[in-house]
Amino acid sequence: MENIGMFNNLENGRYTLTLYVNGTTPNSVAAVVNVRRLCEEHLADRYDLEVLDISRFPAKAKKAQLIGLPALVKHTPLPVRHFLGDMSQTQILLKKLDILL
Amino acid sequence: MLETNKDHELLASENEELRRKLGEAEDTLGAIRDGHIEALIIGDQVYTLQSADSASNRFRGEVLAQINDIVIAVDPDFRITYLNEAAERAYGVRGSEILGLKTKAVFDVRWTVEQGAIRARETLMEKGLWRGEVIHVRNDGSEFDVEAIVSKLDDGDSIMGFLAVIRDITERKRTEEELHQSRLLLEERVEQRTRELAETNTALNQEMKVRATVEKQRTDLLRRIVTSQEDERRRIAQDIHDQLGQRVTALRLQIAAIDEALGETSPVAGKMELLNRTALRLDSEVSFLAWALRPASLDDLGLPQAAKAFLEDWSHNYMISSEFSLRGFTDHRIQAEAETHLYRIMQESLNNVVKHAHATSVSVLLEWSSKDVTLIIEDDGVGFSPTKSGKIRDGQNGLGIPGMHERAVLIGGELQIESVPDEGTTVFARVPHSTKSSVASIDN
Repeated sequence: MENIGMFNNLENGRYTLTLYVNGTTPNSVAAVVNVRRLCEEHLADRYDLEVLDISRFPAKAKKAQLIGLPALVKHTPLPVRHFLGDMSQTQILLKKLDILL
Repeated sequence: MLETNKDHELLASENEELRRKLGEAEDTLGAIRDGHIEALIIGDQVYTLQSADSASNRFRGEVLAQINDIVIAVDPDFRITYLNEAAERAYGVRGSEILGLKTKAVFDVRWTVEQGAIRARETLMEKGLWRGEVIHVRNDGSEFDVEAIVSKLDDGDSIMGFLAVIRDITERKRTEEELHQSRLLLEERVEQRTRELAETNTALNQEMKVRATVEKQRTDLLRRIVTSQEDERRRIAQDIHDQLGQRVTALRLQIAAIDEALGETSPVAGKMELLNRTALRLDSEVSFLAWALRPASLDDLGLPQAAKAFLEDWSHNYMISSEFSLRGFTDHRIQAEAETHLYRIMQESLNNVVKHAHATSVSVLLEWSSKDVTLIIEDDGVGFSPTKSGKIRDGQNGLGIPGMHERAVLIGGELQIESVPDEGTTVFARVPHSTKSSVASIDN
């Protein structure tokens, strides 16, 4: 399901993002809130965001080749980008993920 | 040359990508240093980086996870920053799916009072706390009643967010509604029962009125019978006195005259003497009979005189000693009807003494007190037991007790009889001297 969406997005230019968090720890919660805000404010109607709780699905972390949490991965548009840590600085985050406004 | 250029571009791109990855790695290290990374993933294992803060946060998280109330924290934009397991259960969501979303994405609020949202917001901003009951509507359209307590979180200068503790009160509301319904039902039943009782009461009142009417008719009839009986007695007594009595008296006087003319030496002197005595007794008995039927003195002189005279005559006639006492009477008269009935009660009582009591003496008391007139007839005869009296009362040749009772009731009074076997019998009759008939008392 998520893969089909991701392949479609390769062609239609929509952003496919996955946010990996560690349960409801303060940093993870802040990351979710900040990323959702970023998406709604800057990518409205052209993004698909999936939040994965690694404390519930540890295998998914290995699959995504992550080294720490919280982590945000941009799958599309290419290239794939990873970001770890503080997600409260919106401008930095946009730059690091190669998100063009 | 072209290939060289291509290789160069590729190399430059790879170089850029490597630089970027190095940048990412540096950023990651920086994030770890700055404490923004809270877990490291090595192979299949997730290692949570411990700190004093994370331990206390975890403790808080576990506490909040345990409570049954829904706990939701939001930032100043009402984006969800925390929700406990009770909230996940209540709204059918996962924390990771909805964190960062506005509360509208999880539930809608339906207000049960007008301007509820505006007023709640005002209260929350002014006082820092709002408490109230609303309805939460889940994404699937289902809804439930809640009681919410929302607190404003601020650090003195700016609002950091809000914390809501929400309790599902659907069950409480249902119980309240059931209670309300059962109260309504109870009230309805009480009302219905009251109505039924009122109807029964009306029916009873109606029945009482019918009975009172019947009783009045019966008493009226009794009164008419007794009155006509008295009239008849008066007429017969008059006839006996005027005609039979006078002729018997004339006969007695003639016999006496003949007896005297013949003298004591006459051969029929003995028989004349007997005839004389017989005529005398006959004259006396006729007089007594007429008087017993209706003494003229009752109408002319009143009850005390008539009763006294009757008792003396009765005593003489049946040779039973008697005593008459009068108390409280001066020149009082009670109604003629009451006098007649009391007189008849005395007559009937004395008649019982002659027939049943085998008494040697009788005393009669007539007393006028502040409220009523009391007549007491007491004998020293054989008396009777209550069971026997019951039998006698109903019999054809009874004591006439029901008759005496009826007479007392007809003049608004009462009658009591006390009797002890071998000691005697006492009859008490009491009537108010402002004599009102029992019919009048029913009307009142």
